[in-house]
Amino acid sequence: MIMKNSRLYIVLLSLVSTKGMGQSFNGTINPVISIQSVMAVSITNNASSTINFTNAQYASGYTISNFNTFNIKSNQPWRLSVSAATPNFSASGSYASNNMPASVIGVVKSGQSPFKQLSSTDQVLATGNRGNAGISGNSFNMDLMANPGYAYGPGIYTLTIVYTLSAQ
Amino acid sequence: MCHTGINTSRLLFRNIIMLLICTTAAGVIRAQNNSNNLTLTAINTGFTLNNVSAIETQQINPNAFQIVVNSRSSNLFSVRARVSASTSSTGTPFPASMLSLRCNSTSPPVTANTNTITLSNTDQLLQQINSTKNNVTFNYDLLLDPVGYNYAPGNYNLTILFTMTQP
Repeated sequence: MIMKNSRLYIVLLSLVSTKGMGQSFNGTINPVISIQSVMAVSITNNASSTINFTNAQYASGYTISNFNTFNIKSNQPWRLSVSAATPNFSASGSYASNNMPASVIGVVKSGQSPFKQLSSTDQVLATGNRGNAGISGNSFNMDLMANPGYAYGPGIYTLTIVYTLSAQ
Repeated sequence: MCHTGINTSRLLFRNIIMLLICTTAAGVIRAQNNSNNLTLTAINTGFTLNNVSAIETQQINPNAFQIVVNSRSSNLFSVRARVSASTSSTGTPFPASMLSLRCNSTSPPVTANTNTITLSNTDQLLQQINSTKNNVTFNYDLLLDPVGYNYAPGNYNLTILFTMTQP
């Protein structure tokens, strides 16, 4: 009976003692990664932004294919809008007209139609999905057409085109 | 009858004494356990990615957190880490492998692993220390791989679980 009890206590002590061996201790940290809206557009001019009109171009307008290349990176679906900084061109020269509107210029994503006549109001040029410039649709070209006709006098006309990248 | 009663009393007394010894032994071991522990201190474990450079390049928070190990019951101990939870406000959790850890210093100096360890959802061995120093502070850098543009804006929360084991 005494032997039996002793064995029991030895087993009990062994069990308690092994709690001190092979132990593990835990702790945690909780990193938080805050991703904010990140968008970027780069624009490459593939042609001179100065256009000299000849007689033929007065008649039917002047189209430049792939005038600009756009590369867009965004971590959310995006849209690229285009507008003119002013309603009319600024004009210089003795015979220049001060009322040539921005709509003389039309732009369109290459391969699409029709041309969007510019104004000081934003118009959507293109849309796309989250991703870098390598994904489909985030890199594209734009065609430009200028068609002043015969309504405006000879001179030098200047217009600033504004591109705006925003989240859809 | 009387003889049996004395034996029963002795047996009861012996049981009480043995139980007291066991309880005392357990108490001693528990006290020893209390002097072995792992303490984590977060210093700079957050990342804010708000520009192209931050999105496209690896981010490093030097001395992002400290691990303090008290190992009094053994000179040999190891520290492991894994990502035990990952949630986000966008519904898409961040993969554990986006985070890495790198020990940049210890106090007092001990021979430590200073390699960059990429985390996963299973335990990764950070340190296996055999030192006479029984109280070691590890200063760790936290590294975040380039996130890129595939993760929507939002907060991504991860829990890194550290485990110190002794043989």
